[in-house]
Amino acid sequence: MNWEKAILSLFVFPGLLYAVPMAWLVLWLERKLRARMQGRIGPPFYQPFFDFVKLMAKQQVHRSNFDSLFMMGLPLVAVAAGLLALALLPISSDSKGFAGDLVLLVAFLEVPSLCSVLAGFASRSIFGQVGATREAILSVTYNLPFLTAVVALASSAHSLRLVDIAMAPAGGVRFFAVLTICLCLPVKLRLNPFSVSNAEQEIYSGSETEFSGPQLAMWELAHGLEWMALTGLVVCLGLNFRTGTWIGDFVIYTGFSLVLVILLTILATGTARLKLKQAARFYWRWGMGLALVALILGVFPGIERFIR
Amino acid sequence: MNIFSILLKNLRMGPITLRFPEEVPHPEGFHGPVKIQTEKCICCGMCAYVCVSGAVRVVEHENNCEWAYSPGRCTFCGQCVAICPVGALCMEDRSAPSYFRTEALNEMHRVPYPLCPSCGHPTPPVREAILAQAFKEVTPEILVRGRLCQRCRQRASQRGLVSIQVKGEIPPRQSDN
Repeated sequence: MNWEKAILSLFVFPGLLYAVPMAWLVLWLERKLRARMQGRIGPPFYQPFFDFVKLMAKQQVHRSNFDSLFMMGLPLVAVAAGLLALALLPISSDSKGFAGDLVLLVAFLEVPSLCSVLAGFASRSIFGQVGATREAILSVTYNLPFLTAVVALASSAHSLRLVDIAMAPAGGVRFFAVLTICLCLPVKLRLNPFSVSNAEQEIYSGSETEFSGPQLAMWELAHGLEWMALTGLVVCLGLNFRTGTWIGDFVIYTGFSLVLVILLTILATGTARLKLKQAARFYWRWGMGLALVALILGVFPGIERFIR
Repeated sequence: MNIFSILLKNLRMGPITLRFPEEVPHPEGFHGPVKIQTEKCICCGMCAYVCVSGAVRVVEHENNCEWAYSPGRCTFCGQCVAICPVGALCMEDRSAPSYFRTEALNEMHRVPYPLCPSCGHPTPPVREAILAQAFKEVTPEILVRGRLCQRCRQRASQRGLVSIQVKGEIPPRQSDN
């Protein structure tokens, strides 16, 4: 990966210039679709942008230096991690990546969640602490199947390079691994039925309860970027073909990402919040079951050949 | 999967939220803005007296009475309507309209004082409805007496007393109090 291409990916496509408006669009689509399914009108498409501008213009709550450093720094780190994760995605056919970029991507995808946990405790709010604790527990539960699925993919492609994994021939490993990753999306995005860490009727918005103004704006943006990065990951790993043209890849990536957003929104609107215990049980039973199938098929490719 | 069919139905039916200025029909007895019928008002000021938010004001002038109402201050409690002895006030069955400036909705009505048939001086109106509450039967004499100004009414009463003293006649009792 050369420097020019890396900077282009980070700041133009699929990075800053593309991802930020798309993140707002995704946040809007989720809100609008949810509203329509509940019989409400919902916000206009520019609402997330207006929310961002309004929050940015607000005065900050005065805190001690150390606290304000954490409160401002953590959402910024989350935004940066989201952008870096997006920049690593092998969207176009000519993206080469580098050995080990899969590990880096997985790390970047986990950073917003980690920041959220730290922010909850740094805010010194009881709601923030409860939200942070729940987020930390959920992180342990969903990361087990998520990481197992990623390991299965890597072992089946014999590579830690994203583009090799994405271009590997389709098979049982890819099917079960991508399904497991899809299963982990609602909890990673804190959506129903796994929205226990930001349960707004119980603990306001969990770890973000004490955040306001520009800090909250950054959290919102980080959340939008998380949407983009995670749906993008599923699209990039789920489709093992590229059109060969930049515009074709762009359309396929954006289109499938939006389809995933719609499906996740339907799931979130149609389900009620599960308890922490129920969510953990679900991921350790069903998520882990699927991930183990993918891992076994990945480590022992002979099994798949035998079945066929 | 019933919930998803409900979501699909909602999606197909479109939003049920009404766009401003559309409104849902209001129930019977809805407490909307207060409306006055000036031809019934007797300018007693009871509405202003019971108004907790100071939305209703009654100011007496020499030849009329000013009834002012600001819906921006009104709590729509309906006390003024309940206390009005002649039923001159009622509440509309619609919400108070939206406004940019509070003063934009302010209303002011003038209740003209009729002239006293005896001296020609403007006097607060006395309607038949209030006389009917005070007397068992509203005779033409009571009606004439009611139209008089306070001063002329006192004189008429004095004349009645004098006639009793001088002639020794006791006029038939008109009122029940």
